[in-house]
Amino acid sequence: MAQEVKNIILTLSQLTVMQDVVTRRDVMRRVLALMNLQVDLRPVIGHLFKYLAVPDLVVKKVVYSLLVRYVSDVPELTLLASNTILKDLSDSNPLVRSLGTKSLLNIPYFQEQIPNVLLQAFQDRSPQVRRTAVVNCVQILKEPGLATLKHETLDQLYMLIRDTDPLVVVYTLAVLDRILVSEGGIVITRKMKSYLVNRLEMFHDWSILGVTRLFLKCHPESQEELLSFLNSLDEHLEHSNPAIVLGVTDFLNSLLKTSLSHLAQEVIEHVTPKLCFYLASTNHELVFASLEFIEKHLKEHLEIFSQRLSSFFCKFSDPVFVKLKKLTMLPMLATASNIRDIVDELKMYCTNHLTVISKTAINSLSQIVNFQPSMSSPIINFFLQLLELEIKPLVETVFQNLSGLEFQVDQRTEQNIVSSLFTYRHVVSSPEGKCAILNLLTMYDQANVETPYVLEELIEQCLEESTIVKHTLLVCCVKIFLNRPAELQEMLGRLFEHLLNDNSPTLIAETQFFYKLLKTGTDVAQQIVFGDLIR
Amino acid sequence: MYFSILSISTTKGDPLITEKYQNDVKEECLKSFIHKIVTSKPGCMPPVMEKNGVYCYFIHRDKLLYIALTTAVTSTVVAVELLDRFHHILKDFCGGVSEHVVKKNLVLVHEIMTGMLNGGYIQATDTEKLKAMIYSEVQLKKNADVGLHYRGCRQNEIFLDVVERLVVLFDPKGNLKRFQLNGALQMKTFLPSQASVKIGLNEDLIVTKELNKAAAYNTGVCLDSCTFHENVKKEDFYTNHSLLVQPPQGEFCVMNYTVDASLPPVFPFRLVSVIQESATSDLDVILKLKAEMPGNTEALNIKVHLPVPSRTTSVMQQFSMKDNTANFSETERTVTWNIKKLPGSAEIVAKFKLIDARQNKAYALQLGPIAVEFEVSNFVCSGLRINFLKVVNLATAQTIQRWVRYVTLADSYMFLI
Repeated sequence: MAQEVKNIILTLSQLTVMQDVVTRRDVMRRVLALMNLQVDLRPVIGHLFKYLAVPDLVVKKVVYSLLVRYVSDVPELTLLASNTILKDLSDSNPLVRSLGTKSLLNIPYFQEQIPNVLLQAFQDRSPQVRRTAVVNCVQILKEPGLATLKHETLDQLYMLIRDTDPLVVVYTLAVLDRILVSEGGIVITRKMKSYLVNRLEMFHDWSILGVTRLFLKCHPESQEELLSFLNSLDEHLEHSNPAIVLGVTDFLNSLLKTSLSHLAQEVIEHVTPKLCFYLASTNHELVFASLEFIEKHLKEHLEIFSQRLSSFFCKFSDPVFVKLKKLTMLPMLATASNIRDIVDELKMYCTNHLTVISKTAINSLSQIVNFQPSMSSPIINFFLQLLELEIKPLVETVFQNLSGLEFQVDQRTEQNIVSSLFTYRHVVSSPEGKCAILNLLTMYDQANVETPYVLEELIEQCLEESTIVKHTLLVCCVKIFLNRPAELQEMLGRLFEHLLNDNSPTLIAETQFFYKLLKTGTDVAQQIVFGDLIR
Repeated sequence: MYFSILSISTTKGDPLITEKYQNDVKEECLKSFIHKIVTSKPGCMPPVMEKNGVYCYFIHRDKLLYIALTTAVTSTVVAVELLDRFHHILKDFCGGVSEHVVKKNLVLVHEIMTGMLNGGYIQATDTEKLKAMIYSEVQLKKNADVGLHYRGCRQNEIFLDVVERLVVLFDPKGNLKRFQLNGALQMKTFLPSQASVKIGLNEDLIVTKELNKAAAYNTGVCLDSCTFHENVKKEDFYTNHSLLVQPPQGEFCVMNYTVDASLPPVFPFRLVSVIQESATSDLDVILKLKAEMPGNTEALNIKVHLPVPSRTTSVMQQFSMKDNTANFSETERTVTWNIKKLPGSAEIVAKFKLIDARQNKAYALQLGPIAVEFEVSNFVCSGLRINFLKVVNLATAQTIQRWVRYVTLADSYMFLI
């Protein structure tokens, strides 16, 4: 790299290079490549300055961006460039003026000149220069030496809201919002709002997003105003840029949902075909972003989206992050009429070779059980079938989900769960899986003969377990002891002994608590441990 | 809504070019995000993440990673759309994008980056507007097939692709369970801006959702819904099935359409599977793949993915056609049958013996669904045709080369077994 720096310096010092466009630009390419590798380019900068005098915008862009980057390291070099920069400020080409303005505003050396240059740039006839001036304001006002400039700049910026260039307006609004952040951002006055509303059609493309984002801050005053928004933003819903379609939809939806919810519904309905096109796109990141958007509005507009269910099914070509998003969203789309299709779809992914996918599918299925208990027995039976594969992550996930079910299963299912629990518990080895087994044992312990043996085994290995397993084991043993004192008494005693010598103070305290509680009497303990469930 | 850093890096994590627009994010932060992305499993990480108040958005395109960092609250769609447009702009300027192209054209890419965003705020994301701000020439590899470039010699060409992607699911009996066809008319051109292009589609085309007509009475081409680019005048679409397009520079999508209710007359592939339990714990799977598209077309790069039970230790295979291969990936638990090409109405068979697959009694849960990937050129399922493609309002009298291509791709072509 050092050699390349030397080579560059050598090339730069050849006089002929200045005249030769091709070599000149190639050197700039090499400089950019080094800059990207974070090579120290300070030795080069001195040699580059003379190139600012060459009337080549390509070179100027590179040199200026280097200058801004390294200026704090070599302040004395700025002197060399200052003449050119000042000259560029009055160049006839707006791009050159814009470059000069940007550089000057970013170099502390010129602090004294900043107020004048800024003022001049704000009034420049080229929108390009005005935009550059506006976007650099935030940075400038952060400089301690320039704090006095704030009032004046703010006044100037407020004037620029009436600029003829839509980007200048949008940049100004955004910059004002940032400068005034400590005061809660820019305040949209009634006058400002009506001015902007009347000119909404001048904001095409991305700029409309900057305006609508700001309108969100103020509540519309009347229904007429709402409707005028709707009318003037309507066409943006047809835009080929999905960011604009979704941004404007989002805006309209949040405006309309309280007072004119039927119109909000209509807006969403109107863009749904577009959304479905996005979901079918090969641009996977767009698919993901659209899913995020839908997720945000899903609760309010479930009816619309649940009719488009097939758009949410996983495709073979979807990358994992899209599949995961779809699998987590499917239970939210469930209605009484489509629930079977959703279950069928989720089942297909429960045996996927990628554990993240199979786990997510299983989790979503058990959410459906909680949402629609009528689906519980087919899903639980499917879960029990999955156990037969004896794949560790699957078994663990299934046990975890079974232990998290929010309702009572029927007796037959309960028996099936318990018998699978004893058959496949040896597959489990993670702490979460063991906790799930313990929780299931507590939930479904119907005087099962095998239970004490399982607990016995776990207590034996208890010393090597993680704290969470020990904790669960303790609670589980206490609960089962209260139901089956004779069988558990001796075992529980041993567990207490183990845990009282544990490293975790919380665990010790917990053990002591249970010990004292049981000593007080089983009646009280029953009440405290089981709460109202038993009584 | 502003961005602090924009960067392109290789998928290995070597940065190619970085532009810093605001001083609120350190370059180390970018490095740590890139590290996180390239060390994660491919395809697993969603395109947005957050750390200490810095949001990182990224997209993967053509073996490159495009990254944007910001501290502002932004919606994901804005960031990913910006990055996607960045990629398309580079493609429009350079013909194609790769690590080599970016390295060769650092000055141009730097110009594009400073033109696209001004101080981090979005300024221009279309090729035409950016052209006015860009002064450097594109540097290309010698003899490279550069596709198109606005300063290249190929200003007199129009490419129009009809691309259809299929989402299909057949049940074990071969009945259609799910169907969606997503089609697009993709145009790529660098015609002078006043020129318009007229595209004529099938005379018998109808769009069911727009017309509320029942598809059953129609014998022609049936689309269920469609959307158009804003530069398309669609007034004539419903009367004489033609579109008048004012093409923007570069590549864009003239029209998107879906077919989901009206079934197409023919599906490019059918697959029949026979599963036999052999005496030992092995499993025999016979797959019969039939190409049902017309005989004058050909499917390329066909891959049949068969997920197999996890106990499978190895696979024995037998094919009815030469040049077929298959490989078994134990980690992915999948047998992939590769067929380089298959002409229309041909039928081929593959036999797989999955050793030890039945060691577990619930093995059937892990068998399938089978996914088929393919690419059929010169054929689209919907039957959509480009009847004519005319350039109107051209200032100079020059002949325009017009290229129309048709292709059908499998987006998700699955068979339950």
